[in-house]
Amino acid sequence: MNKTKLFLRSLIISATTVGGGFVIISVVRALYVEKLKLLTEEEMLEMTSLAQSSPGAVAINLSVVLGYKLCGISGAAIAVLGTFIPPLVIMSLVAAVYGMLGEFRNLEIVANIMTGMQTGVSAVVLDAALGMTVTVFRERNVLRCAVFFIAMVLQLCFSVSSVYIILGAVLVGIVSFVISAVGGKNAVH
Amino acid sequence: MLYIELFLNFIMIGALSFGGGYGTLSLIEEIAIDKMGWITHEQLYDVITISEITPGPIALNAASFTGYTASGFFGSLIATVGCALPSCVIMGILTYVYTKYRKTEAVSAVIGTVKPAVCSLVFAAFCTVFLPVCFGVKSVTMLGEAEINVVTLLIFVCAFVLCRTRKVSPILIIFACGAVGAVLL
Repeated sequence: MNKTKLFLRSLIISATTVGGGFVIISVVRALYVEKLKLLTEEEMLEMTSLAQSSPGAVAINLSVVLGYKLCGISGAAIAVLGTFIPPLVIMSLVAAVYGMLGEFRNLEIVANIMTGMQTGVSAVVLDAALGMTVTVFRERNVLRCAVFFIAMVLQLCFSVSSVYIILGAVLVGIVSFVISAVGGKNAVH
Repeated sequence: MLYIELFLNFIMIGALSFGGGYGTLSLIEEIAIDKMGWITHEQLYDVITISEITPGPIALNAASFTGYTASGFFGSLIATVGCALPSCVIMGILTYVYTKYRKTEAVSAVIGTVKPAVCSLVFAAFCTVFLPVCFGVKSVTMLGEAEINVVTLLIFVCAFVLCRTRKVSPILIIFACGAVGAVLL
């Protein structure tokens, strides 16, 4: 893909996507998987897994792996730059006019716009969640489906932090690999 | 000197911030407020609120704001670069290793179990946003006390149908929902 386009797309997504890392993931997925068809659902899910497993902002992490995938190392740098500029500029402006913001926050219409946008955000995130989960279930792997449900229960019912969820999933992956490797050896002998 | 302090401290914050934006905030609280005194607690709470209506990762927003308050736009640039740098480096290495070894059994076994966990994280993120606006509760365990908000639920259903079927740009959907919210709520 053209590097200018990659930069502009990263810039636009970063400048317009209000909300946390999962909103960015959902918007990136909608653009690159559904609309442009430059990535498969599988690749998107792998990139999301990588971005989630590394410290720091998911938006930046995702830009690194997305840029690299589409245009190599310089692509990674370009995508990060595009993602990085809007929050820097916007928050510097906010800090500059900070003293005047006090009353603005309490306006009812701002609260209503926020609630409306959060409703839209939840629809976009649910769309992404469904799309990604379908690819996992298509693998028809019992262990992976079990990881999905267990992780879901741990988070929703017991509020376990996402750090432990990811670490736990990595551990399960390692253990399952070791077991299958040992099992494979025994079968040969 | 202040620039160097900003840069090094935010590199540390960036490198240690596992678990997304809110993990970073407690580090910023510890370092930028308690240790260095660059901003106050009240200012950080305001940044969190403002971050909800401005784009960008909350960690970078807090870094930009802190840097600007400490020493103007150049301070903002330095703090934000510092905050993003460690994750770029770690992510770069991870991407390289992953691309090189993705075909090996060990890596695909690990990524294979991380994928479903990430899917459930996305569902959890959905619940975090969806439950308060449509049911007025914070978590699934509190659904017994839910008060259904018919208007937001209706906006949600329309937005979701648009997402699934007509493939309207998600950014457009989010802004349209904001406009509808301003009129109907």
